[in-house]
Amino acid sequence: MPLFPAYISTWNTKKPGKRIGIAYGDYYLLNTNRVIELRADGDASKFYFANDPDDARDSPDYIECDISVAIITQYADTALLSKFATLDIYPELNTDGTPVETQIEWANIAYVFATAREYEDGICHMVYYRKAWERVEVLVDTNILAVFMSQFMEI
Amino acid sequence: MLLLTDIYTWQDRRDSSSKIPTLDKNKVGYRTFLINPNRISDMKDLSNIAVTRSSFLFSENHRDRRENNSYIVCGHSPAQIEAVHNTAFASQFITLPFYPKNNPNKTAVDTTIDVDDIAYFDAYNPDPDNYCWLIYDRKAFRRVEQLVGLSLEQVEDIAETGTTTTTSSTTDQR
Repeated sequence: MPLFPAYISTWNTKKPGKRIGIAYGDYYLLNTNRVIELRADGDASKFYFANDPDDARDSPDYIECDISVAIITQYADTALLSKFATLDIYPELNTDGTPVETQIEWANIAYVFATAREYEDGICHMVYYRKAWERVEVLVDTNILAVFMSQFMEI
Repeated sequence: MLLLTDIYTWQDRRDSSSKIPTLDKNKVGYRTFLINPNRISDMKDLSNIAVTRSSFLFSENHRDRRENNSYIVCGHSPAQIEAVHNTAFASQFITLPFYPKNNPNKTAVDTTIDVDDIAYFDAYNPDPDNYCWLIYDRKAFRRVEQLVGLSLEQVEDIAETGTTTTTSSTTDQR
């Protein structure tokens, strides 16, 4: 269930909003526990991605990325430091508020990205699910690299 | 790990009332499946001095609350099934040769899936030494039946070790 970093070249979704052209450099952290039917595409890979794997109504997205099948498999087999991520989350997506330290299970996180502005400000967007119940989008007061590294070591 | 077991009873409410074909039932009394123990609930010991048996409920899509469980009686005891379930997979992901449109005449495409998404494998009747059916879930969204270019024993090898040493045999039954 670790998240892996990838440059996404194609992201087809039936959900509202665009995915490509939003994140800085189109780099995302994607959760390996959402990956379905992973196939090699040269040195890259393509797969379906279930945003909410516990919701039968959730039609998986289609993604093409620059990471190989072998590397994604290695990430899936890597042990997490803890099952919970500890993140400072801004209330109501408002960076004027005070971030609240919040624990979220890594398994519930779908993906993380930072827009160009957020990348400069050292913050990032995170999409996670309250189990099967609902999708939640939050702003995290940590840069995307630190979120990635905190899966495997104390930051 | 996956459990290779002889199943004597498999009652479900899907497209058939039983997954064990009449030919197998009448000839040997069971059919061999490779099942994922992560779908099991309410397991009970039915063993006696003569035979080893257990019964349990089995979910083909364990993430979907609408999914009615099957009832299975198999040739392993609860202790044996527990031991298999406690054995780790070689990897969280398993790579298998998928035949596009379930057509064995097409070129297989290596496809990697999460082992937690696997429900079970069933032998492909025309050529069970080289092919089998994989039933897995696209998470909660959809149940998929996929033809795979390996026997049940080869799939079990790959799940356990990441590779297979079992050889395939050629057949002209197909």
